[in-house]
Order: sequence, then C-alpha cells, then structure tokens
Amino acid sequence: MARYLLKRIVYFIFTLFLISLVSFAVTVCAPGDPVDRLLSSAVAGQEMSSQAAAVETQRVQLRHQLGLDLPLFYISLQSAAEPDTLHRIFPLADRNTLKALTKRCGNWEKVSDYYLGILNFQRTLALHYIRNASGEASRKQKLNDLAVLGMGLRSTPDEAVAGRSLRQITEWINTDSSLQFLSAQVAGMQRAFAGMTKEPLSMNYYCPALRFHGENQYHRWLFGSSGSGKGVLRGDFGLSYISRQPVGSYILDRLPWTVCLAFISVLLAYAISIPLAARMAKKPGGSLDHRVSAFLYLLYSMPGFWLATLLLMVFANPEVLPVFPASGVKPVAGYPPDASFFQNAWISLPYLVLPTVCYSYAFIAVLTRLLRVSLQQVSGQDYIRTARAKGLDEKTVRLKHALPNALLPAVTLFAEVFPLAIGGSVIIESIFTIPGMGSGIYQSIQSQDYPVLVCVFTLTGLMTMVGYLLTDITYAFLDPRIRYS
Amino acid sequence: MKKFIQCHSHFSFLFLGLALCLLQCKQQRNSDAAGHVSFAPVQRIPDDTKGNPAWSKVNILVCHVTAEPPTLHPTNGNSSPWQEINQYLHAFLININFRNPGLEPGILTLPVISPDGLRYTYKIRSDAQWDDGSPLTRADILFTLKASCCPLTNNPHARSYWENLLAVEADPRDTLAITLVMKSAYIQNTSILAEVPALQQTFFDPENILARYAIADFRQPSLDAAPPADLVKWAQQFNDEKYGRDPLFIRGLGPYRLTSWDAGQSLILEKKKNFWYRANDNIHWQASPDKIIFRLNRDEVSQQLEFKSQALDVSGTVTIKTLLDLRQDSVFLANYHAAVMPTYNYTYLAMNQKPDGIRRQKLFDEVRVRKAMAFLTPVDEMIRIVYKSYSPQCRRLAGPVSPLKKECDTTLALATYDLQAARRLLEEAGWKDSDHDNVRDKIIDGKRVPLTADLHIMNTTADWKDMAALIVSSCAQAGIRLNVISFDPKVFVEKARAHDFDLMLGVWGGTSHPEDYAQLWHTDSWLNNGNNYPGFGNAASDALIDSINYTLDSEARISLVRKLQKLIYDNQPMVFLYSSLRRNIIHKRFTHVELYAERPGFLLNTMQPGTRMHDEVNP
Repeated sequence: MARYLLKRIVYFIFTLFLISLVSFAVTVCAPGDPVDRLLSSAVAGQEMSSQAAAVETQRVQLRHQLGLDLPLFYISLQSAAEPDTLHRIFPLADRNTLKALTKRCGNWEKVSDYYLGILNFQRTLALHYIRNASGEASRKQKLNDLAVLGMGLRSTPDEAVAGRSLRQITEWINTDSSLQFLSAQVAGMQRAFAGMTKEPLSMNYYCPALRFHGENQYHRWLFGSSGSGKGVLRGDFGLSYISRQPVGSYILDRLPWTVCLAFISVLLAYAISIPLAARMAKKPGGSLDHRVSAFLYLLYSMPGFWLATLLLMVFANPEVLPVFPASGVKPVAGYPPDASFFQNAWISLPYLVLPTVCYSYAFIAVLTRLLRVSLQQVSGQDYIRTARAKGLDEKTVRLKHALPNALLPAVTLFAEVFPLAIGGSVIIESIFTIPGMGSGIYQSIQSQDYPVLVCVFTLTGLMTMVGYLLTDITYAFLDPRIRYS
Repeated sequence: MKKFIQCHSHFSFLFLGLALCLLQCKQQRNSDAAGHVSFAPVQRIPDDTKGNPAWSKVNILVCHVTAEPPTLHPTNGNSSPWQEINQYLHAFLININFRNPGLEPGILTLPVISPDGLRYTYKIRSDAQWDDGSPLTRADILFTLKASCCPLTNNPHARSYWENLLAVEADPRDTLAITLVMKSAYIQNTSILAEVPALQQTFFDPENILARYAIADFRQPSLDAAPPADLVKWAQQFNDEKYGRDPLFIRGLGPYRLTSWDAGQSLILEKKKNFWYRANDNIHWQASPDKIIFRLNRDEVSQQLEFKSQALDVSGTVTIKTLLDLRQDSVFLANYHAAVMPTYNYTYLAMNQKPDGIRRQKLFDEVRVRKAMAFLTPVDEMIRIVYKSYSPQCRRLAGPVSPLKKECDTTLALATYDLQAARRLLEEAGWKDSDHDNVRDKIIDGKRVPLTADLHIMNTTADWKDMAALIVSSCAQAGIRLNVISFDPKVFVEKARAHDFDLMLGVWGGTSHPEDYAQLWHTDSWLNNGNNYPGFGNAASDALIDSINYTLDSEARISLVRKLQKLIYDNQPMVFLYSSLRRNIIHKRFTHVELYAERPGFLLNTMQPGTRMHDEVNP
C-alpha cells in the first residue's frame, strides 16, 4: 500500500504540472489583454499629442510589472525567420502584422527595418503635429491624412495595399513643400519596403527553430522573481490583477463557504441516500421502490437554477412561507461581536438550508438510485444467502454483509466532492448571494483576472487527484479483495 | 335627419375623444418642437406623511448593490462602487454640486484662476480634522497630490490626467493657500480634484519620504528607469492592498468609517462619533443614518423578495423588469417610493466610417448611408422595449451632449423613422439591388460589394438582442442585411477599438463635469485605437475640440460645444438613441430624499428616518 501511495504521489506531481500547463495555456489564449483592461479607464491614447507617450509608457511599465513582456514558456517552436524577441512587440496587432510580413518575406531584418521606418515616420509626424498644434486647418488635415496612411501601413500585411499607401504618401510629400520634413523618413520607408518585397525568401519561414527561454512567464509564475513574489512552488500565486490582493487571501476569503456547503451537502446526501436505498432494496419492485424511484427521476431532471428560484419563491417569500432568508450567509448587520464559532454557525444555519438543498438534491437522486441497484445486486450473492442460512437476522445481513460491498459505487462518487469544494456552483452562489468560489471564479473570468484563474484551476486539479486517491484507499478498506501491490 | 344628427354626434364625440387623447399624449411627454423632453437634474421625493407602525425604527440604512468595489484604495481604485462608497469615507478636494450641476468647494475652495489659465490657487478648509484629532494641513494636501502623481503609485487609470500638473506651490504667507501650476489651461484641471480624496500624510507616509520630491522630479525619465530606493519602499507600502480592504487602514475625512467588509456580502459604514463638520448645509458631509450597509445581491428574484420583506431600504441598481414587477405589488407601493431619473449616459448605434477595406468593407463611409441608417433606426420602439411603461420619461438624443447640460443644442431635430427617405439616400449613394436578391450592392474598388454588415452587441442583457432585432428587421426593408453577433463586453470593446466592426450598439457614461470631447471625437483617439470607434473627425473638428478643451469660460464654451454638436450631427457617425434612466427605490420611512442625475443618483448620508412615527400617527 505504501508503495502504491508513493507511486500515486509521483503521478500527482506530473499531473499537476500538466494541469498547470493547460490552465496557463488557457489563460494565455483567452481573448483580451489585462493591461488594456487595467488602463481602460484612462483617457484614450492620443498618438498625436503629448499624452500618448504617457499612456504608452504606462502600458510598457505595466506589462513589465506583470511579466507579460516575457516569453510564455521555456521552449518555443517558431519559424527560423522570426526573431526570438517577437514576444516583446506590442500591441498584438503589430506583432501579427510583422509575423505575416515575415512569412512572405522570410527575412526578419528587412521586416524590422520596414517596421522601424514606419515608427520613425509616425513619431516625426506626431512631434511636428504637437509643435505646430495651432497651424492652419488645411495643413492639419493633411497631417491627419498622413497619420491615417501611416496607421494603415502599420496594420496591413498586404503588400499591394502597403505599396499603394506608400506611393500616396510619396506623392503628397513631393507635391507639398510644407511636408518636406518627412522626406527622409519616407525615403527610409520606401527603401525598407523595396528591400523587403524584392526577392522574398518565403521558404525560410517554414524552417523551424527551437528556442530556449530561461526567463519566461511560466517560470516566473512557478518560481517567482525578485519583483514579482515567491512563486507558486512556495505558495505565492501572485496578486489579483483587479484588486491587487494576494490570490491566496482572495481564495481563503471565499473557500470556507464553498467547502462548508459542499461537505454539508454531501453528508446530507449520504445520510438520506443510504437508509433510503436500503429501504428500497428491501423489497425491489414494491410500491415504495416505484414511487421513490419516480420521485428521484423527477428530482434529478429539475435544473438547479429553477429549483433554487422555486424554493426562494416559496420559502423566502413573505407572501407565502417566509421561513428562510432570501440571500446571504449571515444577517445584514453581521455576527455579534463576541459570538463564538458555534454561535455564528447557528446564526448562519437558516441561510444555508435552501442553498444546501439545491447543492444536494441531484446528488441524493443519483446516489440513492446507485445504492439501490448496487444493494439489489449484492443481495442476490451467494454469501448473503449463506449469511441468512446461518440464521443471522435481516438487519445484520444487510448492514454488516451487504452494505459494505454495495458502497463501492457510492465511494466513487465521493471523489466528486473535492473539486466541487473548490469550484463551487456559480448558479447557486449567484442566486443565493453566497460569497463562495463559484461566484468568485465567474467574476475573475469576466475581469480576466488570470492569476486567480490559474490558481483555481491548479487547486481544482489537485483536489480532484486527492479525492480519487482517498476513494482508492477507501476501496481497499471496504473490500479486502482490493489490494494495491 | 334624425339618423344624420345621430351619426354626426357620434362622429363628433369620436373626434373629440381622439383629440383629447392626442393632447394627453403630448402633455405626458412635455416635448418641445424638436421633440426634446425636459428634465431637471434633481428631484425631491415627497416625505411620507402617514407612517406605518410596522416600519423599522432603527436608524440603519441598507443599500442594495450589485457589485462590490475591487478595492477602496484612495488613489488606486476608480470603479463606480469605489466612488459610491468612498464619498462617505473621504472628503474630496472639490465636491460635485448635485443640485446645480457643476463643482462646489470641498476640502479646497473653488480656485482663483490666473488669466493665462495655468495657475489655480485654492484655499484649504481650516476646520477639518482627522480621526486622531490632528488638523488637516497643507502638508496633507501636498502629500495627496504627490501620491497621485508619483509614477510608482498603482493608478494607471489616472496617470494621463496628472500629466498636466507641473508643480505645486505653497504660499509662505498663507499656510492655507496652495497653487497648482498646470501645463495647459484645460477644462478638467479643477474637476479632476473631485475624484481625489484628501489623505493624511502622517498616516500614509510616516517617514515623510514624498516631501523630498517635487512634482517635477516625477516627470524625469531617469525616475522611471531607476527609481530611488526610498521611493520604491514608500510605493510598495502605499500600494499595499490593506489600504483598500482592511478597515483599520482605511482612513479619511468623511463622516463615516468602514467597520466591516465581508467579501461578497456586505460593507458596513458607521457614523463617526467626533466628526469634525458640525454644520448642516453641506450635503456631502451630513451623517443622518447611524449605519449604512451596502448589501450585495445580484439575483433579481432574490432582490424582489428582499424588498417585499423590507430587508433593503434603497437601491439604484435594479432592472426595469424588477421595478415594474415590484410595482404590481400594493404592499411594495405602500412601503417604497419607486422613481426613475435621467442620467448623463446615452446609448448609440455606431457606424464604422473608416474601415480598412480589407477586414471591413467600406459600407458606411458615406454620410448619406449613415443618414439612411438614422432614418431606419426605430428609436421610439427601442425605448419602449427597454423602459416599457417608463418610456415617456426617457429622453431621446440628437447628439453626444446630454440634454441635462446647458450646452446641449436642443434645436437639432431628432431623426424620425422614414423608410422612403432611407431608400432615397441609399439610391443616391449608389447602393442599388442590381442582382435582385433584396440586398443592395455597389461596385467598390472594382468589386461588387453587397450591403451586408455585422451588428455587434454585448451579451449582457436580452434588451440588446431585442433592440438589434428591431434594427435588423427595419434595415431588411431597405435592402440592408445585418448579422447580429453578440460578444462578451471585453471582446466587444476590443473589437471596437481595433475598428473591427461595421455597426455596434453601445452605451457611453457621462457626468456633469465639463466633458473632454477628445476622448470620443478627436481623430487622435481613432488613430491610437481609443474610444473614437466610428472614426469621426477631421482637422476642423479636432481644432474645435482643442478649443473647447482650453476654453475655461463655461459660457464661451457653450457656443463651441454646440458647433461641435452640429458637426457631429451633420456627419452622423452614430445614431444617438436615448439617455439612460436610473431606477431608484427608496423606503418611505426615510425623508429628505433627493434623486440626482449625477451618479450615484442619491446621497445615503442625507436620508433621515421619518419623524412621524407610530406614536404620533396612531397614539
């Protein structure tokens, strides 16, 4: 058994690594940029004004602070034509454009020259615009039009479109003497464009290159760094992007209620299901068996949100049966200051009844049916007949001989409790305003709070594995025939 | 003859009845010739005179909210819940005048502005005191401004505003005078201070580190590259989340203090026993309820039940559906006031008028096509869908300026639904159904392009879908095919900023502050993927916007803003739909209730429990 446990723990580590990779990949691939999210309330960046530089500086700083300007993982498989620093290019639209150009051209140096030429052109134009902000309208219109073309150049990988734009810019520069200050930049862009499009080596793009990155986002997340915390391996999941609260404390604030509800629901489910299933299995096919089975099917088919709303409308409605509160886990004014844990639990009890019913009803239905079938199968076994033949009373036969062997499927279901204890139920917690993990995860997804999400995915994976390990151990305890060697 | 007289009299009565109905409808909307409905920015709720013995007599106000703030940090937060709660915990440097839209003195007086608009001299209140009894001093104000400007403070959302502050001067002759030297004469130089709470220097910076730095030092590039160790140490301590979550570390000059924050449940504010403000004329610093409890509840059914059981006293965040359902209940009506108030927000249908021609076709780059869309948008129907029986109180818009503001040009006529006019404009713009498939098309850059567009909406409420369905059906009659695509709000905004849309239904929030129209309407904002989603603007409009931003005289600014409105109106980058209504519920046991157009819509600290209690009404 010890060897088996050790082997499972080794598998844990490997599985956790895979889970963390998957959750990390999911958060990376999810749409949206957390930097933009954090800066979204700021005045929109104004490229042709002095404030644009300020906003862009903030973006760069914030990205650096959050470690989002690092490569994603230790290794990356890229095209040999792309540079190993492509991950540092922001915004993402620029990066995608440069990738597309590199794919056509096959030569990063030439693409880079072209991109730098465009940036230089835009920067010169913006500075001139700021310094001549009080100029005449027609001239400012021309500068604006040039800026639009510049933006188009930066965002299009289409050579035909880019060529047209460059020709237009050149024509304007040549015909308007007031725009001569841009002639050097435009000439630079043209040279770079010609160099990029002449004799493309697109086959280079298809040569793979495997690159290693010592400092990367995943490494920083696992091991931490001097400015960003201690890392996951030392129990530091970083700070929430939104509240800047340590992820650990964010989860610890919410976890107790979810764990509490999950375990109470499971205990309630087992407390009801086992005796009910035993009673049903006593006379299979009887009227009780039929009626209860029909009720359980009905129960299982009810959606959770519908039942929750129904329970509220009946048992929390002052016009019907105002027995339970409609929301929350404690009174509006909170707990009394000097109350003990058990007093607080007693105060919270009415608030948890309806949510517990919603958490557990489906589980009761499934578990009862499963146990009933299992008990019925076990009751037909030879050793049960032998036990009866030996003269044992029915109660001893059922409880001591039949039930332990019938519990194995029920024990399997117990493993589901552990991920439920972490993940909670978004719907139930939203309807009853329970400050648990479910609603917390939902809000984190909505606000792209990746540190919280990665932590939750990892913990859920860990608890699932712990759950399955505990069920395996319980199997061995219940059934002597099951041994791990 | 008799029959003729009978018919004539029946017809007369019918005609009279119809006329009376029409007259009544007109009176309900109270609209002017251009179709605009007028509203005031403040509404006083009449105090209940009857009372009810069953009402609670406890002086605790429970306010329903649907979101809690991510943080209450005085500089690092900026959400609506942050503003709503912090206004009771802190005293802001300048206050918003809720009754007469504008600014009024807060901890600072309104400024004396130099003729060049660059120097703003304020006086600090001499009577304000911190909770520990120490007086508010100029050092606290200096610290507040430096903490906001410091590049290491975690407030990226506000950084762009603080770039305009060059220096702060302390008058040696007057310890209560302070002068802010600004980079430019910008209309929001004063209003930005309405979002800045006064901070106690000895509490947030016990080692007085920020005193070693001037504002100008914070602008040095070298500071970004290699920040000094003492500043880093201060910033790490100041940015700590305890100043945004832990009641022991949340301190301000406001009339209330935070005593408890149950994450996901409630925040409890208690009145300070020795609050420094003794008068009664400043509504921001009154403290009528002994406790204010912000109670979180996102579920509509649960909200209704809590109102029915009177567990909640006030709400400004219920949906129209919830409000209308509750109003069906006579018990609810006996216990609560329910009212809607106009806001500075508006809903719009934006059209991409500068598509790149590759990702998005050039469908709405012509003004005639955009005008046609204005004729095809059934705005009144949309209002009826969203606001139902409250639709007569909802105000339509002809432009981006709220009708609550003086600078709103109410002479601009609202677009009416006119299918024929829309068809005519589309024909003139060259969109014809050449292949007889009931969808118009046109040759653009040598290719036949059908007038088929994507309409982006947010997936937050069903109302967006209903509104989109109306637009789709209306446009189909004019030969325009629309595909409705709903997005998560974040993705929706991303696509809008990247100009990756044809049409989009959105909402824009506003306040009574002088608005910086550059954010929405300057070409720079489009160029750098800002909030100018449609791509409106040219040099003339940019120059006008810049003039507005640097015209400090509010009266002179009115004509400029109206010019801008006219430019926008003529260009039609958006179809402006309506100004949002805020839904308010207030328990009748509270008196002295005023509702405001300015968010959050009411001030909880001014609501007093009624004086006509059970013993007076029914001895």
